[in-house]
Amino acid sequence: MKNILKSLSVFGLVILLASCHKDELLTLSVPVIQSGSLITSENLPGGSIKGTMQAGKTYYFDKDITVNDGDTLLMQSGVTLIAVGDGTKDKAPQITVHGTLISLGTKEKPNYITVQNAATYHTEASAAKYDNVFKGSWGGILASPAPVTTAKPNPKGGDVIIKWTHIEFAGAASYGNDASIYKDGDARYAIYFANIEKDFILEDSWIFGSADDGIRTVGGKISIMRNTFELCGRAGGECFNMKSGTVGDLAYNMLIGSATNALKASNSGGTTIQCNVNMYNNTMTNCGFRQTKTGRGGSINYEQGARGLIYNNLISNCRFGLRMTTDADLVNIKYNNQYYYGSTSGILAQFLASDGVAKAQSADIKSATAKDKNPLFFSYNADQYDYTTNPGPIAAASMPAYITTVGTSNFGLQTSSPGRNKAKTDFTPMAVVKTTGNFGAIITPPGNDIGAYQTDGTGNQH
Amino acid sequence: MKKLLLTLFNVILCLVALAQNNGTVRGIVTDKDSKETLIGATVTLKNEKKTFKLAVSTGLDGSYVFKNVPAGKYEVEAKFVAYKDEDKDFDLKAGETKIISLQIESKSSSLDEVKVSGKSDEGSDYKSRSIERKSDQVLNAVSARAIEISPDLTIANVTQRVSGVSIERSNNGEGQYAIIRGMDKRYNYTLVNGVKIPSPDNKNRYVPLDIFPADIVDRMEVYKSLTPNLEGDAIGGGINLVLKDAPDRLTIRANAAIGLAGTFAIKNNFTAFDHAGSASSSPRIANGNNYSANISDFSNGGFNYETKHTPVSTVFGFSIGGRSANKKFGALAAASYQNTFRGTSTVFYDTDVDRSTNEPALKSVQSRRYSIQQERTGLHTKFDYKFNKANKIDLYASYMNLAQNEFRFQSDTTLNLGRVGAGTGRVTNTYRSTRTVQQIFSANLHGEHKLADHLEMNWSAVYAKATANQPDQATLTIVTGRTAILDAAGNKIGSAQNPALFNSTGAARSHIWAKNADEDKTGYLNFIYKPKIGDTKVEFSVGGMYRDKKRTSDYDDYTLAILNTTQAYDGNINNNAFRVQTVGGSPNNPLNYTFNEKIAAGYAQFKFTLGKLQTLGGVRYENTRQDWVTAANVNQTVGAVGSNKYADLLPSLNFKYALADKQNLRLSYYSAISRPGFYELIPHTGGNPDADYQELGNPNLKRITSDNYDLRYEFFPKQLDQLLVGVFYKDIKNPIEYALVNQATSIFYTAGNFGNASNYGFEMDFTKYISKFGFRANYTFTDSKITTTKTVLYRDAATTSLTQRTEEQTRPLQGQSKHIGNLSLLFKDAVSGLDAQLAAVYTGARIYTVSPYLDNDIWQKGTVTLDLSAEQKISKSFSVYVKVNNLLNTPSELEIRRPYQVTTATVNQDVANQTVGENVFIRKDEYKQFYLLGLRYKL
Repeated sequence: MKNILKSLSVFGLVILLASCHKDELLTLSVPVIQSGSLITSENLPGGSIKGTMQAGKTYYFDKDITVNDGDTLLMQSGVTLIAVGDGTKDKAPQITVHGTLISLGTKEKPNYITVQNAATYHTEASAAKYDNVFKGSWGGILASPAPVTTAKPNPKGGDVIIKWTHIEFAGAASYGNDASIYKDGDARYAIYFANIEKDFILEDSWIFGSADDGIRTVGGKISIMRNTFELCGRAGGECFNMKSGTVGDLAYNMLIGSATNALKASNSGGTTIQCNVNMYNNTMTNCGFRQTKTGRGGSINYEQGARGLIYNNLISNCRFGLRMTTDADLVNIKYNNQYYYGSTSGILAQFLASDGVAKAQSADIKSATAKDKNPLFFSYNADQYDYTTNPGPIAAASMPAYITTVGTSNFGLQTSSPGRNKAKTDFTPMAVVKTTGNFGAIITPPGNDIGAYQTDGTGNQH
Repeated sequence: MKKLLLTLFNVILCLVALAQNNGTVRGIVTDKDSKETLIGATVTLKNEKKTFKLAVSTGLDGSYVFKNVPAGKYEVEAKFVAYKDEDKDFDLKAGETKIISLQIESKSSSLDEVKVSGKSDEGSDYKSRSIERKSDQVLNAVSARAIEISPDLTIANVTQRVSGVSIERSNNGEGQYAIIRGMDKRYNYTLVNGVKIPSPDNKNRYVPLDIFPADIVDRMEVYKSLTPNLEGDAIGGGINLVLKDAPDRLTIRANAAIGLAGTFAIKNNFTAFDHAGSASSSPRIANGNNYSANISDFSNGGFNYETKHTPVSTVFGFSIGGRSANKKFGALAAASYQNTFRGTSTVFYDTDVDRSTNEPALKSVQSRRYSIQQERTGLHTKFDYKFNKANKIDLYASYMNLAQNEFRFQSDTTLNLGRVGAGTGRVTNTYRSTRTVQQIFSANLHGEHKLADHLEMNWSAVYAKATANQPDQATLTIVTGRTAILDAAGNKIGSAQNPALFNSTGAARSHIWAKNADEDKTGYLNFIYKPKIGDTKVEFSVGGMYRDKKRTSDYDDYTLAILNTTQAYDGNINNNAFRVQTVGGSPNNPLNYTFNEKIAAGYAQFKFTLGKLQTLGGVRYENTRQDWVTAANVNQTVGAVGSNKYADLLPSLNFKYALADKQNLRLSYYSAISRPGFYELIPHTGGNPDADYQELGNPNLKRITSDNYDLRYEFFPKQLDQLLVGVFYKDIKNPIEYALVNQATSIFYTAGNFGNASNYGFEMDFTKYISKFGFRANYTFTDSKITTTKTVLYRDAATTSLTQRTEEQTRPLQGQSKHIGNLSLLFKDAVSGLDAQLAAVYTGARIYTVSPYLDNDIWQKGTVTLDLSAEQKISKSFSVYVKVNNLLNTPSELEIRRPYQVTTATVNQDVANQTVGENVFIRKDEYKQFYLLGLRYKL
């Protein structure tokens, strides 16, 4: 009895001591947010900036510049912003936008975000020399909410509104630029936008030359109207690649010579908002020929749960036509009135990409045989390149400039073009972005002619 | 026929008559003090005139028998190592069965706790049982002899023979990590001679057990409860490897064996690659952060393959030990080398979930083939010097090296793209060569001193370093496929092979260098005071420990692109030209980091026995301080630099109540913690490029804490026989599990703390020996519960949009099998010198991967594996042995517990392995048998 009592008392003693776990005393480094300094000189110092770039002036930056959460960077018309870089490590500055970026070029005075050697690189591109075009000389624009910190647990980020602006030669490899988006060594995009709450408006602008995707969105309300995309992706990559959370319209864009697809929508990447994009009245040509993977797509691609409306697109000599994979949201995809042109039987065979499940639609226009139903562009010979000898993949170095760039060509349709007045007009764009005020989007509704250029002068203005 | 039967009958009759005329002598040999039966004691029967002499050994139950002994006067004598001889005289009448039991006396003192001072057979089962019985805590032990005659080559595989332990296997089918009582590897630690050793594993704190060759271990102990003098971070338990000690007399042991893997027995398809040309450090580490790599920095060696024909595995072991004439100085050196070739073939279905139904959806089918060569070297030395009765020091040093060359070929056929039935679709072939060298070095200087009559002191100073180097993991990605040829109606009429081109979207080639090192400096100091209070012997001990740990990690990932995208791959990469895409490596990757951890611990413990009750209790205090610096940009990554500190007070109480002479009842409680791994804390992104979601480190992870209760009944009827029955319960706070989290606008797969979990179970361990046969069985039932948030993908009825919601799901902890069982049959004939063992392990179904989606966890099916080993003595010093692993060619199979369905969208997938209505097949690995034939020498 005594023994038991003794042991019990010991037991009690231990229970009194009962385990005790002190809370962690955790200290984590947080990003030091430098308050944005107003732009006062044409040589931007790097770091956080805000304010206005004055009309007609040329600005330079050689280090990363950041627009802080809550701040705005506005570029008036005729501004040239030069990224001083050659694409090597530490010489490839990027524009990080945690706030709002507005570039207000005009038809008369467009803006430029480019590099010093732009003229040389354009000359090289015209001579079918693409090494400098694809190498990526600067980092591009990265727009996403600022990192979460205890001080700012819920950064909202801001809109990106770009009008009449040339964005060129971006895509340099990332080294420590944003670990959650790019691994070290990854090629960056000319524009990366990830913010399901905010607007991304890109109008009447030019994306020229990028190492990988020209533009990638991982969430965002978008209105992508009347732009020209050339030479996107060295050996892989799309002109415009949309992931989960992206909602909006892409219309009247001219897309030429992309490595893989011109436009690609996928609901991968996991946000709670389904990727839902309308693609209408776009013209795409010579896309998909640099990709080595068979069947990856070469014009419009919907996969992994993406949905939307696909009407009135002119797909001329692309390696693959519309491709909707089995895992796309087939229930909610509506498509018709596409115009497929092919100068070889190989291209004809892939008007409906065999890796997808898209079906021929009642109002589609198609070449029945090679070179049948030529779209009759105003000044562009769709049959100039020999796709019979070179069915793809084609190495960039073997691609003449006329299949990768617009140059002086005019992709408007001649009066006798089979694409005239064949478009579907009885649907409405989603118009999810702001359309009012100075910065609002100008949304062009579906036009009568298939493709980006309309007889009535609307559509692509380039 | 009739004649034959008659003859046979006559023979039997004669034999019976003979037996009736002659007598039988049988009995049991036991230890005089402990009353334990002794196995392998030599019993000699002599008649008075010395004209009759026979000798036998006692069996597994300590028994001996002499049959057909003519009547007369006899002497029977028992001899056993380290025991005094004992004899008895008796008369045997005709036809009589005489039972003569002999009690022999040990030459040395009795066993004391875990330390065995009596030199009975080193590393014997007997010692293990004594340890289980006499230990202060709940533990199971496996002896060197049991390991030697078991079918296992590495310690990892030995652990699965212990009750409540299952193993997690690596790609070659070899065990790698122990799961104790359903608790994942993160909850367990590994000790060598009672000292924790650092891990060469880049992602985890736990040491991969396949680095230890089985034959340098004297004893393996599995702790299932903790006492205050043990480190507190073992919620599941601890594995202690007690390495061999210097023997009293000159002892030499050697063994050599050759082996063959069943995979290569028929097909000669072991693929070796050339790793000689690969630099051991990445171009960036070798030349500095600003170095721009060029093509000459990358060797083609990893892509130059050679087929080896029927590669033969080799195993060598050697140990020598002894003691000086005055017994003061003892030394032991042991070396072990294993070079094994194994192969695995795998079918794997990559899955996703259907975005509108949340049901598993097949993405691609992969066929994988592994060729794995493992070279395992273990060196181990121990010196001890006894100054006098009161002072003793020993120095122990060990070096472990595991070099692995793994070649993996994977052919991945997508099931959604270009798939028009079997034999078509887009194919990605990846060729991956990985060489990994893991090393652990540790040196331990230990002293024991008797300071006064009742006061003892011991100390240890330990330096240990564990490194892992994965230089130049080289991967080649080739895209190809077969395109279906369709007729006008869209029916498949054939297929055409696409050319083999280099991947152009990502890397055509990638070269990854990963290197990490853990360096530990640890000191231990303990005082033990054993006064007598009243009539009760009480033992007080206090002590402390301090460990300074530094982990460093370097990581670089280079990608190379094909120069001309239209070049085809003809099987010889030397015909192709590449350019370096990632010239700078990964200088900003947070996986380049330094992590310091300083742990200071102190404890106070008491132990006393009142009547039949032994009480051991006390409290341990552990203070943890951590700080880290990563290469990540501080202005972008929260926690690029960080520090953390916390302290824990961990009480523990163990009761052992002697119900009867050979029966104990144990009740124990202890509190424990588990610290998150460094890799989990470091705020890295990515890590697994194939994952659907990016992996994200979580510097906010809290440590796991738990309260653990154990009740066990033990019965040791005879020396080796035992019955252990127990129940346990664990209450776990902040368990770490992986889940998807929404951060900013993206979803990441990350480790997090998930409320509370509980784990309880029942354990039984039974061993019975009857003469030459032994029977061992154990069974463990475990049930754990944890609730985590899962994602459900669905189509919103109103908007018809695809969207997602979250739901809570309760499930077992990852890796926990509800049922685990072991069954072994042993045969031991001391006369013919044959030892044989047939061992079966049943591991019940368990969660292999936790899915982020509701009801989509990947389960590993229950398996039964059967291993066989036998050893035959061929002379006094030599024996031959054979080990056969995986007799049944048991595959490892994974599944998702949802019925497989075929929809209009997937009708073209046309896949093998899947059956409509049955669980979705995920993966099957086949390892085939592994045979080993060897020769053992003992002096």
